[in-house]
Amino acid sequence: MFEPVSNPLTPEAEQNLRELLKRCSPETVAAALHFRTTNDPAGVDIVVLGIIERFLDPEVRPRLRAGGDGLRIFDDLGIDSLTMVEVVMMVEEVLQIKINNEELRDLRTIGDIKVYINCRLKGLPLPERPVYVHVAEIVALLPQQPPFLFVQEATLRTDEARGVYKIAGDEFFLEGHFKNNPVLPASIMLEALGQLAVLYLLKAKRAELTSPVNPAKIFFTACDGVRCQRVCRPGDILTLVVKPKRIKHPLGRFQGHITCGTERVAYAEEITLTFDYLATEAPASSDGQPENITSAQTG
Amino acid sequence: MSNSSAAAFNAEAEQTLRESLKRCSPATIEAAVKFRQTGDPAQINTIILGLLERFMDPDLRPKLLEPNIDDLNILSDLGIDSLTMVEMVMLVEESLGLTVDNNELRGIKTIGDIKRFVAGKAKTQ
Repeated sequence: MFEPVSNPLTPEAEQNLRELLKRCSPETVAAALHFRTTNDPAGVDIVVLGIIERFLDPEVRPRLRAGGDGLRIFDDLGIDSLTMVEVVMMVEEVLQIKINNEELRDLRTIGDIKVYINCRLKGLPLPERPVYVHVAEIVALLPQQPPFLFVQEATLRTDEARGVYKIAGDEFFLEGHFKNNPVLPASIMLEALGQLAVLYLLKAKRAELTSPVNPAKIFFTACDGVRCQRVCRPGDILTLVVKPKRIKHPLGRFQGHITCGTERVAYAEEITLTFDYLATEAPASSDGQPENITSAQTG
Repeated sequence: MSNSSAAAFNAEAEQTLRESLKRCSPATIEAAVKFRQTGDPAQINTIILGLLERFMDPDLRPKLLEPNIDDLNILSDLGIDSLTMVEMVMLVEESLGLTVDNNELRGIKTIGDIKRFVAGKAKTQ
């Protein structure tokens, strides 16, 4: 698939490259020339971001410049699928690689793109394909339901779950929180992280989860090290992230954080959920062990 | 986690240990570090008390300062239910480098039971 150009860049090829990138920033052109003459992948991020920037609405460009690997190509940068094809064609031509559409579908954020390009150029294996979970499936899987569902889409990997919650503004609790001043409650932020962790337990492939988890038997148990850093209001699109730290039936311990664009919103160093399996395992709990649950349910 | 006690306790492992115990008292953390470095069983009691304290309702924590606490019942005196017990076990595993099966917790009712159980574990693992 990927054949590095071993031949030196001819004046003609350089001319073509400059022509191709003529609407990109000078540093993009310079980085592209550097890559094509040396095959050094170090500056490739600059090339790819420069090409993306070229296709962006000028108003959106500062958002890309501000950085942040969590920026979403469609939702945050407004690149539609047709524009994406243009970006891909130009990246292919400039870096002399071939990108197949299958792999392209998994790239949702700027960070995904960087990792993908770097793996391709360095001949490393591609990262694990994330499982995308659509809102309809979330509703089908989770015990939490609207109007108390705060995960609207999600992607799952073995070591991480990412979710999105857009604050619509018509949430019932915003009416009273606060008077004439709708602000997302911090408790709802924690709830949203908890719900994403529930989704992880129900859907992620993980060796410690030896059999399917019972959605009716997952409860919020503990939360440590919480800090809220930013006030969130209607219109904000929150990115939720939870990472499992340890799973040992009947407990799953996660760390979680929330961002909005490039801004940090909140984090929880530890969120602990208790869970049980659908088919109750052997006589493990004959002594009443995981059954004595005293905590409140997530939701 | 199995048999991690056999693995070298390097600077990175110490950092991880301090991180997982960061909500415990400094004395607990130092005792755990020392235990992992030297295997000194004299540290175990300090570690157990520190972990119990971390998972107890703050109102009940003074009970740990009473004399003869070995007979205190984990559930009725300390308010630690079976689920909290499992949480504590996870931390014991991580801090002492032991592996504990939840089934082994049956029959553990008092602080003395915990001390004896962990000391036995530390000897065999």
